[in-house]
This record gives sequence, structure tokens and C-alpha cells, in this order.
Amino acid sequence: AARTSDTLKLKPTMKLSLVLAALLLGNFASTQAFSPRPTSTSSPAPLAASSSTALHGIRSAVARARDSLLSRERTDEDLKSGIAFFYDRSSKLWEDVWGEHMHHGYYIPEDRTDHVQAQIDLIDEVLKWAGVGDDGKTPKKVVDVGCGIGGSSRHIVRKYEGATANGITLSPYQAQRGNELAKEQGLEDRASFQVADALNQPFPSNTFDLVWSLESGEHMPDKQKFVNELLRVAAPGGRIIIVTWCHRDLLPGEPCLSTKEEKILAKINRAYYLPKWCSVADYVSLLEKAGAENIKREDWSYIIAPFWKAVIKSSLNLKSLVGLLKSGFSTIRGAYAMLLMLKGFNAGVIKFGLITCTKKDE
Amino acid sequence: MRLLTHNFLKSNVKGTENGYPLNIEVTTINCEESPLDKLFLLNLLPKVNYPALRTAVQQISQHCVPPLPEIPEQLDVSDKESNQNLDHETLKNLHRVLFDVYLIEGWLVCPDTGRKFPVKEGIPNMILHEDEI
Repeated sequence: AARTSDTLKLKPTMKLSLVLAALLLGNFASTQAFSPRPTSTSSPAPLAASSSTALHGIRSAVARARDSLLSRERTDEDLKSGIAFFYDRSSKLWEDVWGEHMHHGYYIPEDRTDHVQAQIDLIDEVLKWAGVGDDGKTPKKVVDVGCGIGGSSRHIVRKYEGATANGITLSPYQAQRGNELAKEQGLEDRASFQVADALNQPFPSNTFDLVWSLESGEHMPDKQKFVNELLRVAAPGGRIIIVTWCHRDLLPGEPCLSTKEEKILAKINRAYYLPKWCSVADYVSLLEKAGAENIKREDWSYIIAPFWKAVIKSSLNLKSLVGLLKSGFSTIRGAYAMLLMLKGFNAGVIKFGLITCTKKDE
Repeated sequence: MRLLTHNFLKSNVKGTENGYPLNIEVTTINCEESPLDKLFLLNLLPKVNYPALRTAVQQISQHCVPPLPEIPEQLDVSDKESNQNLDHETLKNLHRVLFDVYLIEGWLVCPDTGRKFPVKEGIPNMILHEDEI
């Protein structure tokens, strides 16, 4: 397909106002206390440090601030609780502004402005690309790994007759919201959501004929384990679809990304609670190693890139800014990191990759 | 959490291969009637592990008001064709136990290690601790 623009330029004034907004709000928000472990499961209200843990709270806050400034990688344990914390707090704002789909949109045509439909179209286009239903068989049992508030699951069970979906997320808020939305949409007997770890899926092996991971792979600290679990829970002959942010493939002989490229990613990782990135080529070789068949890959970076500009634009109105302020420091940092995502795309280091494969049939 | 969901959940605590099916400890349970969608149920039945379903029903039935209906002691649900021959009463009962019962608060217990996974506000939390992985 012809690409009409290879890079996405953000107007200087828009850039400046976003940076200023982020700095102002960041300053204000950092005076709020925040605790390291989420204690509330149903509402993302700001958490206050209790008097008995105030000193610990201050010490760990200082340590976290230092790690943030140095863009230090998080430990797996910190990552897990951080992800739950981040999404417990940020999901409500995202849903208010963007709706139930927490992923990129499909921007063909490039200048489309129906963003929610673009997000729905992405799911359909990915399924089409992966060839789901091409052989006349549609999936009946679906697992949504890293399900957010369940947008994909609900869309997929509506799309395929007789299908049921189980979604897993680390965030209790997301699981609850997912079940609530399923009930509202009359889908509660077809889509259900649990709190669970994608690296240790609580399902028997050989269960699902469609294993779906849309923009969650980025969070997995152990890509090998992640891939192995996806294959384990897939039914023989079942299909696995991974859509995820990766860094560019390394050139033959290139041992790693450049320092400049690593720096951009390290900053984004702090904001979005991400572990070290890998490339699409890495996923392909992990899948090959794990015995997957019919492996196919694709790069849709240019198709989804207009989404970031749209997200940034959407955050520059009073309602979103107020919501951002209310959601706390981590969400605000996430908003600022959008500029970094854009930078990464323009620099060619961040890619939006698609990988699909099937599990060996018995 | 409905029994339909429970049917798909397994404990994978380190060192156990027998983490299925999970035993259920009820604290709070709700029943909410919903209409039977025969076609959907028939489509779903081959995917259900029937012995696990029957055990689950036995474990929670006493907590339900009114008590859950009786479902056959043994049933081979794997064949779509023969499922079509199930009588309406059986299908209604299967629907009721799969879809209409909600565990709101309680525990899912690993049959092998005894590890308890909490169910809060209807949502099971299956995340393992660091030393269980």
C-alpha cells in the first residue's frame, strides 16, 4: 500500500503547549502522596499514605523519583504491581475520553477522524489479515491476554456466532469494568474477565482456538514465557495472534540498538511500566523455537501512527486535562510519554508489529 | 464468577500438574435467572468439562436459595449430535447452573496444593505470588 507520509510532525505550538501542560500538572501532582501497592480494587481514587507508613512512603517515593530520572529498568515484581496500579488509575480517564477500546486505531484513510470506529476496524483488519474464518471455521473459545476493559473480547464474541471469551488482566479495576460492560451490552454469558498473570495463565492446556493478544505483549518481562503460555493454552490447530509494539529489527551483525534509541525507549518504559523491548524478528524466532507453525509477520507502523496525534489532540481540552489532573502523576506521565512514542515512531525505532501462527494439530 | 468461568480455570502453582478443577468455598452467592438460549448452549456444551461442572454444582448447591437443580450424574457432552437429543428440562437445568449462579465472595482452592485464590466482587484473582511461580 502507498504511504502518504513517513513521519508524523507535531506542530511546534501544539508540542510546546503539551510540554508546558505536562510540566505544570506534573509539578502539582507530585505533591500528592501515592502508595506503592494499590489497595482499592474498585475505584481508581488517589491513594493517600497512612501516618504509620508516611516515612516509608516518602523514602520509596524519593527512590522511585530517582529511578525515574535515571530511567532505570524496573524489577519484574515492581513491574507487575506497577502495571496493575497504572491501569487501575488510568483506565477510567481513558474510557471517558476514548471509550472501551484501549488500543491503536486503523488509519486508512490516514486523515480519518472517527477514532472509535478506527479502533474497532483495527480488530477486524487484524482478524482478516490473520485469516481467521477463511477456512469456514470461526473461533468458539477465545482468550484475550491482557484484555484491558474487554473491548476486543466483546467485539469478537459479537462477531463470531457461538463464541465465548475469557479475558485476563493484572488490573482488578479493569476486570470489574470489563464484566460490567459485558453485562450492560448483554454479553455477560459470553465474555468474562479475571485477574490473572499472562505469564502464568490460569487455564488448562489446549483450551482455546483463538489466542488473542492486542497491545499487551509490550508489558511482558519474559517474552519467552509469554510466548510459551500463549502456545500452551492454544488448542491443537488453534490460532495465535500477537499485535504489539516492538523495536525495529536489528540489522545482520548489529548487536543492539543505538544509545540514542535505547534512551527513548528507557524513558517510555518508566512511564508505561514496560520491560525491555524486543523486535518482531525476536518474536518470530521465539515462536519457531516453541514449535509454532505457519508463522506470518507484518509491520503496520504507518497505518496506526496517526493515532498518536489524535490522542494528543484529544488531551488538549479542558475536560481531558481536568480528568488527567484527577488521575494522578502516573497517568500524567503516561500522557507526556505520548510525545516520546511519536518521537520513537518518527525515528524508526518503534514499530507496530503483527505476528500470527498456529499450534500444531494433533 | 459463574460456573461457566470456573469450568475453564486452573491453578498452576509451581509443582502441581493437578490444579484442576478448583474446589469452591462460598461466602456469598447470587442467583439471577436468565432466558435459555438453546443454540448457544448446544454450541458451548462440547467445550465444557462435565465432571468438573457436576462437582462444582455439588459444592455450592447448599448455599443457593432456591437450591440448584439436579443435573445428570454422568453426561457425555462432547458430541454435538447427541447433545441435540437432550430433553428440554436437562438443557434448562444445565443453563441454570452454568449461567445463572454467581459466586460473589469466596475462594477457589487448588485441589493439589490447597492454595486459595480469592474471589472478590465476583472476580477471581488468579495471580500467583513470587514463590509460587
